[in-house]
Amino acid sequence: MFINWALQEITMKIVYYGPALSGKTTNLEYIYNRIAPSHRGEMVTLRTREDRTIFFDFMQIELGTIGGKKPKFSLYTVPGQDYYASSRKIILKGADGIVFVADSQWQRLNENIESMLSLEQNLIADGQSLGNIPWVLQYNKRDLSPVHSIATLQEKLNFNQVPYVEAVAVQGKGVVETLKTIINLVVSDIEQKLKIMLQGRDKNGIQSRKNTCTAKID
Amino acid sequence: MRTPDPLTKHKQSLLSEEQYYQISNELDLLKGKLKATLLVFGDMNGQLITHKGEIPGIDITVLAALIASDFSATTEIAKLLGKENQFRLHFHEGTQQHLYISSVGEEFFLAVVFDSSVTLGMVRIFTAKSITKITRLIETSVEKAVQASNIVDAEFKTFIEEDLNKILG
Repeated sequence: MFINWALQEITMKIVYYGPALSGKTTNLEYIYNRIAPSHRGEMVTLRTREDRTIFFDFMQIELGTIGGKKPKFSLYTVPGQDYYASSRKIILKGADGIVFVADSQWQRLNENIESMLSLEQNLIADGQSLGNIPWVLQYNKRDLSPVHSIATLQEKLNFNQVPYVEAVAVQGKGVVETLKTIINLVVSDIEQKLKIMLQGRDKNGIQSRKNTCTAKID
Repeated sequence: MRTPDPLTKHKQSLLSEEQYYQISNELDLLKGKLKATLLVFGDMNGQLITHKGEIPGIDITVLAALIASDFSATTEIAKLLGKENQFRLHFHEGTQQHLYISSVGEEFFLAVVFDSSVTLGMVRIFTAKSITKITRLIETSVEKAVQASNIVDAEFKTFIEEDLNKILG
């Protein structure tokens, strides 16, 4: 997250993570096509000649202004293939929230688990973890067969009991719900962190009034 | 020594009004000296903070995300090569426009887009001077008034929910 006080801009970073071909880019493409150009920037995709994500996809959503504040959400995907581990680590840096896009298909369970483990390792390297960052599970490709039951996927992947969404991203099903859910979690998390930050400063003897505090940032 | 920002595990996620305008002024001066086409100042997580100048048809937000990722990728390359420190600057020579990117402290970058009428030496010298000043501005403790109720509150959350419903249906 980055707050620019002068412009009252609050930019939050959300990363779509998951195994190869689970539908991360499809999520972003659907969101891009759904939102009017006045509320989003361009979408950049860095792909191989085989149309696979090599580095990341990126787009930014800009909401309207309220009381002068301008919230923005930067959405990224990471490449899913094993050999792009470094790229995933780079893109995860500074993430405020994660959408884990799992492939529900029966034969993809192990890849989902391996991807989840790599996510946790990368988060730990960045000073975070799945236990303290807001994240959402999206069980994608629910229209295919055979797929695991939601109960099985919950048991194998959702060990933090985070919110989950069933999806068919190519049809847009569950995509918007996933995005709204993660944004809601991220904003709540930042609200909590700000409260803690301000309380900490009050304890340190920094003057505060009912609605205003003078904070010292080192 | 600076302490980590409580908002994130990273060192700085807040830029005060005073810092922003001082940095903005410094970038205006630098752009004037270099007659640069475009200056982009952003953070290493890919967030655009400010820019000076425009290039028609170019989304500067996207450019900032790409530059930050480029920098991070190069840092990984440096690690693979056994270096402890990241490369501090990159230069991409184009046929018409050139791109000079330098880190500003550990958290930010400054990119300069310029044409062949400006020498690389000039860009290096003036950019280095500006980066020294900006780094000082960022790292110096600043007293600032923070409207606690004016950041992320219940009203803000409600607004986001309503606006998302409007733009996403």
